[in-house]
Amino acid sequence: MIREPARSDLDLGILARLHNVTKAYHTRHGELLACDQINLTVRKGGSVGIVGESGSGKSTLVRILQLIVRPTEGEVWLDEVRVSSLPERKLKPYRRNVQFVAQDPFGSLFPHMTVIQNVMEPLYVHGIGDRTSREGIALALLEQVGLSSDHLFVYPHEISGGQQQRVAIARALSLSPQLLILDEAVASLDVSIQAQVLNLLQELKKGLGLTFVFVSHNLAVIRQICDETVVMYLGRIVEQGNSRELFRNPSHPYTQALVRSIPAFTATGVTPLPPGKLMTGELVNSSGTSQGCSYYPRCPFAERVCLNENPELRQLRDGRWVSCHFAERLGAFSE
Amino acid sequence: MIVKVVINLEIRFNEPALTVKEHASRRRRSPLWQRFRRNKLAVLGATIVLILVLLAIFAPILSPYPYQEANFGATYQDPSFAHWFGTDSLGRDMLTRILWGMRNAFTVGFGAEVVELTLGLLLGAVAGYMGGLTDNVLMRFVDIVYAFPSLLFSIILIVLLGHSILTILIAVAATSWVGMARVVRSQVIKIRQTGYIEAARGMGASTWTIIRRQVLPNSMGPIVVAVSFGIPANMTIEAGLSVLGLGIQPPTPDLGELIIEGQQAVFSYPYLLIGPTVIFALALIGFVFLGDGFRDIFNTKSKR
Amino acid sequence: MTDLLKIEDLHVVFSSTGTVVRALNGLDLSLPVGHAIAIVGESGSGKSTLASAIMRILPSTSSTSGRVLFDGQDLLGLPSKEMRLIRGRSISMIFQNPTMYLNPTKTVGQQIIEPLLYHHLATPAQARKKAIDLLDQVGIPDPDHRFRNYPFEFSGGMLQRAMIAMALITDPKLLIADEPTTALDVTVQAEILVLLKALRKDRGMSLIFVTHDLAVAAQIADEIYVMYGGLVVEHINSSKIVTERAHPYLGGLIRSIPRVDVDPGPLYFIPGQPIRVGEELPPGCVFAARCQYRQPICKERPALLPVSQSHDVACWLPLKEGSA
Repeated sequence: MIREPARSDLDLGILARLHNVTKAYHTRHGELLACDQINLTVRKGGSVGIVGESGSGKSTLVRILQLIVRPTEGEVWLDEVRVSSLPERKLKPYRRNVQFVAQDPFGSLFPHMTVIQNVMEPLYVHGIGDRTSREGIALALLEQVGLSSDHLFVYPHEISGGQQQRVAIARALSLSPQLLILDEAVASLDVSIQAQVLNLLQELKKGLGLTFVFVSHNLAVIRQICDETVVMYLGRIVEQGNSRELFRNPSHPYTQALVRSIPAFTATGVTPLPPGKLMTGELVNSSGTSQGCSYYPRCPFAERVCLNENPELRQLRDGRWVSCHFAERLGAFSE
Repeated sequence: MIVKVVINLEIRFNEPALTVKEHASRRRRSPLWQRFRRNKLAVLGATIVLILVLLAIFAPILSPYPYQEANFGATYQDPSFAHWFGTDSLGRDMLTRILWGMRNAFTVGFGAEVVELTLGLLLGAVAGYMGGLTDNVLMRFVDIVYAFPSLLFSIILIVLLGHSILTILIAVAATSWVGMARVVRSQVIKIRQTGYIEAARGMGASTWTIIRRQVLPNSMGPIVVAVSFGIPANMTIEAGLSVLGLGIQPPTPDLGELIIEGQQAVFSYPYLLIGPTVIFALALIGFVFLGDGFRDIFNTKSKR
Repeated sequence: MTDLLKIEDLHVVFSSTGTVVRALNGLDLSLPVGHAIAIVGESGSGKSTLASAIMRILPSTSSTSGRVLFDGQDLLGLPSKEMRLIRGRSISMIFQNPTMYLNPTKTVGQQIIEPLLYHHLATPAQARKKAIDLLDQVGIPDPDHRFRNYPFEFSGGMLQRAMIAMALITDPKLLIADEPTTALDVTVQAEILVLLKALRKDRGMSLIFVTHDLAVAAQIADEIYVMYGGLVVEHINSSKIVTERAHPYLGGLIRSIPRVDVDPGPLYFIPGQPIRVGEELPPGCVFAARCQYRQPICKERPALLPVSQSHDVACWLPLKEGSA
């Protein structure tokens, strides 16, 4: 094991850390930077939301956190261990600590196993207990996520989407992971079911001290259950900070565009459609160019310096980090 | 460990928690079986196959006469009460010969299928799941075997190894297993991309565990269908080998041999051809209906 | 104001080997000329069936009854030949996933001009000119060049714009949009909604927007029809949706959507599951099983009755705002 006891993550209550993580893919059109210099800290008991649209690199980031994909550069630290340097065969105990709930609950459950067998499978894979004790744990978990005893011996295709997602959550919790990653976990659910699952996550966070990372393109959902929000655009973090504050006072132009695009209800009605153009042009996948700001092509406030210099992620005020040359000026644009 | 938390969800059902044993009694029936039963042709096929297989298994007990007993006083007898299917040129009872012929045919049919299944599963699953270089190498090997003229290969094998049932079985399976390998591989590739395989990897399961517990159970559909069509194919090959004189040697009866004999005497003694042919065809049809039935039920299932 | 589209007592039943699914159970709807209405529902509510029923593109396992009056004509009674003259010409439709509805082996341009050519409304040269013009109107840069691109060369949002262009090229009176923005990023969704609104105004076109997202519905439409269990349970002006909503289902839906203007606390949610496709409808009110205001009278199914101007509710106990 490779340890660096210089700064004690444990003392700071840090569970996972991504340090200058970059992931590059080689395509016909050149090098594609799915993730570019990502720095992320996840604290125990924290809830981090990662917001990004297609091409933002959030899926790659999630895969790196799950230890399924290795970063091209940078380090991944889990519980003070630099797991990114470990060989594949030593990763099993760490994989146990980071569990994942996918967007499509039906696709991620084992179709040939019953609900209870699905929840027991991780325990079997890691050789935990015997059949009886595994069943006991699975039963307790399914009860925790609110599934009745009627649903134990049915197959995934026989239950609804919301129930499937809850089974997926129960299964993910069976190994008592320290970190739970949810990737668009409520996107395919009906609104009323979405609310049930979101509430469940909040309860689990309070009751089990669960740490989770929630990835979504829906800023409103992230604001609902995550204390901290990270906004990604074309592989880079463009803004990060406290969720409520970020929503109230977005500083990066992209965050502002996101906030304005979300249809939501207020006390009197619905938020209006954004006037005119939020962003110019379409998403261009030119994430190979690390020279200027990645948002330059679409930014309504862009100036010359944005084309030439990539803005650093710097602290704007307490707890808020922004990657924009004009963040101070733009921060005043909040509604 | 897990901390039990009382969660105040409005949707909690107010039922006392049952023990797992009590839950088990509520297990559901397999819906596949019920769907299979609805397909009349499939059920017919299954019945035919079942009956013929049973007849073949119990051939030694059921046969009214020993199969090699020649009775020169009763040659070329028409079907009668004493000989349901008549007698052949040497006075041997045709019913007995057909029963034993079926027995051998099924032995080769099923036996070769077992060999094909084993080889095919092993190679196909490994090639399909591992992908990359492993897949390439294995598949090139499969291609080479596939390119062999199978009949020629079987002939060579039998000439080298002799005419016993076992060697014939091996000769039949030797080139047919590649079809199974391909079927298994394509299924495995399809499954490899699903969300639940990725979930299994994220859980920390090893490759072998995943193949054993996730990939193979979910590949069963097309494999079962391939087996249902593979058995009659094997039987046909075996009969074909007999026609070439490479099959089981007399006096052991063989359906292929019976058919050839019958064909030579068809104008004078048609019953010699009709008996074995009809039974053989019946067996093949039975398997084909069965295979079709399996294919239908597995297709509907995959439509989610 | 005359109604461009008026639907009366629409029933759609799907029957295949052994199973009978009642997708629509007596639906009434009216769309005034030039207006935009939204059909909102969760899965199993029947909203997509409604859109397909109007266009008469339901599969052959379905049987439809009722009346769908378009410009005075009952579409359900028309022979197929005449319906084909209306489809793609007076009524156009766009769908959720544009990549699935476009031919990957033909250029986008070729497909956009198809409706014009099929209905013999223009020569190929005229059609091409109109198509490029339309590509520009829907916000696709460099339309001349894009005309010759294949679908795989477009992003999701651009492809949806191209589909809108294809739907509008025959200048239809009515556009039916079946969840067109559900699969798109939220910023792209906003742009498409703005585009649709602008196009509508320019052309005086009517719009039926089907979605599961209540907030999107409120943004794009003048009136909202809320569906549950194959029935309309509430019909209300979008401006009044928060303040004057009456049906408990609508109230529950609004309260379960995360708000952005208040501090996040536990979300309200409607207990139970939405009625799944194929489930037997309860004899009384379809929502009663999940309703917190359930009363004995709810064992009888309430009809859709007006509560005020342009506001109908199917509930025995319409609630005033705030009390739900």
